[in-house]
Amino acid sequence: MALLEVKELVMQFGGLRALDNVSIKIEEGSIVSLIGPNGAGKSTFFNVVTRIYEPTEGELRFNGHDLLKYEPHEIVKLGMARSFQNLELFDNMTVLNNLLVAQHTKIKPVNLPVIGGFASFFSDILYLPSTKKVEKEATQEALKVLEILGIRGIENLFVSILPYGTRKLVELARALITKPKFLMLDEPAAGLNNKETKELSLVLRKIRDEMGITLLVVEHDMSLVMDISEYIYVLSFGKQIAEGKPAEVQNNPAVIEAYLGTEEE
Amino acid sequence: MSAILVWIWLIIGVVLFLMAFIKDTPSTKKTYKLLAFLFVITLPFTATSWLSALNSALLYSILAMGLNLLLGNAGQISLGHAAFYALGAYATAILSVKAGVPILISIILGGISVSILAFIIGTPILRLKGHFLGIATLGLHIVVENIIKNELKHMFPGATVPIKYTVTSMVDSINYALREKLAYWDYVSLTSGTKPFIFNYLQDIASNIPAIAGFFITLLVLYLIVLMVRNLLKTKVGRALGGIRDSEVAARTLGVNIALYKNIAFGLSAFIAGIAGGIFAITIGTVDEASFMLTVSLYVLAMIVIGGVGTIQGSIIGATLYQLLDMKIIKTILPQKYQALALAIMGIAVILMIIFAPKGIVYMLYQFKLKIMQKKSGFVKK
Repeated sequence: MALLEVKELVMQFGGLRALDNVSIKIEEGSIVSLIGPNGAGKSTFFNVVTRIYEPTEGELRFNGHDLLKYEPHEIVKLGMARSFQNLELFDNMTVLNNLLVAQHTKIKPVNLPVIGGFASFFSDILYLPSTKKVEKEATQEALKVLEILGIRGIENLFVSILPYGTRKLVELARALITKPKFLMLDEPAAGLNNKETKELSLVLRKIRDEMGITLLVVEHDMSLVMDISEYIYVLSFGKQIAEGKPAEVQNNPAVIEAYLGTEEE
Repeated sequence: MSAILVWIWLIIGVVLFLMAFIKDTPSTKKTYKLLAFLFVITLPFTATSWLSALNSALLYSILAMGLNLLLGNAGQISLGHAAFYALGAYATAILSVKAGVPILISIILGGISVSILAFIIGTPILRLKGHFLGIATLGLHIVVENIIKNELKHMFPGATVPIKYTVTSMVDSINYALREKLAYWDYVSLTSGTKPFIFNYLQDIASNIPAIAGFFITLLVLYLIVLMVRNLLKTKVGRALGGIRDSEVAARTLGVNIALYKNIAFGLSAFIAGIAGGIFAITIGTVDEASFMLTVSLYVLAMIVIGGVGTIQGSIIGATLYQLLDMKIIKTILPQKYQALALAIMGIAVILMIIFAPKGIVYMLYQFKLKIMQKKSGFVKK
């Protein structure tokens, strides 16, 4: 069974069809890319899948759940995480706190039905041992993820002072710490140099192979896309114009046309 | 004599604070804590003529902390915070006078009822953002002000809470004992012709006992609220609020229920304002719409901006500085005929602060501290 199944998705903004009958199927444990020229609707697709936009039509199934029944903040519990095109980090907080926010749903000082939330709140206000314990665990978890990504040591720095490449890694760490089954990355290589891009492809492979996380990557850097992806979907002006293995897509005339335009004769 | 003592004491306080701020190391922490404790304990007994200003500084510190939680930590604005302050005062007064609830419990109940109300009101209005939320909260203030004028005001004749329900009644026995002693000394002095040298001082204290008690009660509540807010900010709720402030969309995808947490921030902020209102009711003892004008909200906003948005110290420093300047320092310095200029001077001070230290005093101090540390370690930026 496919992990994510999108059927005939339509997203209409007024007169603009940002997504027009998009159907995508992502198998568990694969690395899939979504490419297309600017304005093709890739980020819109991400926003629809993470429930930030309400789709006009279509069906969304994730791991057997009907996504349309969930609120945006409930998505993370299903095991879906994402990064953003223009870095949506919490700039006025430290790296550690960024990663602790990401564990929001997991930090439960008092684990009781119904009154658990209230009890946790009071435990937090009084800073009881129960709170201390979960905070410590969450901190260790955060440090572990930073260690994996090789950026241990920056946890007490404010995000706003970090260089761009490191911030991208922090955002990746923040998505990873939610322990997702499915990770959506919106242009992870944007703004990175060649060396950093190569390192990124290694990291992405590692994420899939060692953590068993399924990846959906939106990317403009074709070297990265061709390098890592096992299957590629191509969007152009909201329409799905091609799909297939990297080699197939590369030679697809429709794709070439979408990127380079038609030849005038 | 006593006026000079106050100034000396306040200068000691400021120096102490700056020293503690700059030399903040684990080894000196205990010493400074002890010194700060001693300073605060002795303050009301030396600065009797400043008590009303000090009390209102503490009260506004609480209020500013409430608004700062909402504005600085959750990134949501409220221009009508005085509404919650007023409702807290009325809730406390009504609970203790009309329902006979013990005073301290009625303060807490007042705070809770205000926070529940804010939670409910917050549900629709917190969907608004930025300026629009500001306007909505402004409207909330107007509504509450009218409710007070038309309904609540008539419950307390002359807008006064009966003395029986204020802090004055709580310190009756001390007051009585002290006055008796003073009367006795006064009587003895008639025959012997000498009064103990502290007679005048004690008389001064005796006439200020309710205010001193108010000072300590407000201080205690302020301390408890500081602890509460501090713990809150370093745990789950505080971080979720920070997430909402910095990036709503990211916080949302990470599992923060934005609407709920905005409501929580609003409710907590109203709770703190309500508690401040309750303390106002039992220490000052007057409840009418004049005490909770719209300007109160704006003053509190100015205090936060002066002190430092998003920090606990900022709320306290801003409120204390503002109130002391406004109620005492400017009035002492200015000659009698220019008193009317006090407000204009405050306004200019706020504008200057915004131009030269837009992030507030706390950030300014941190930068100052950083410079000192760099100099010490020999690392100076070129």
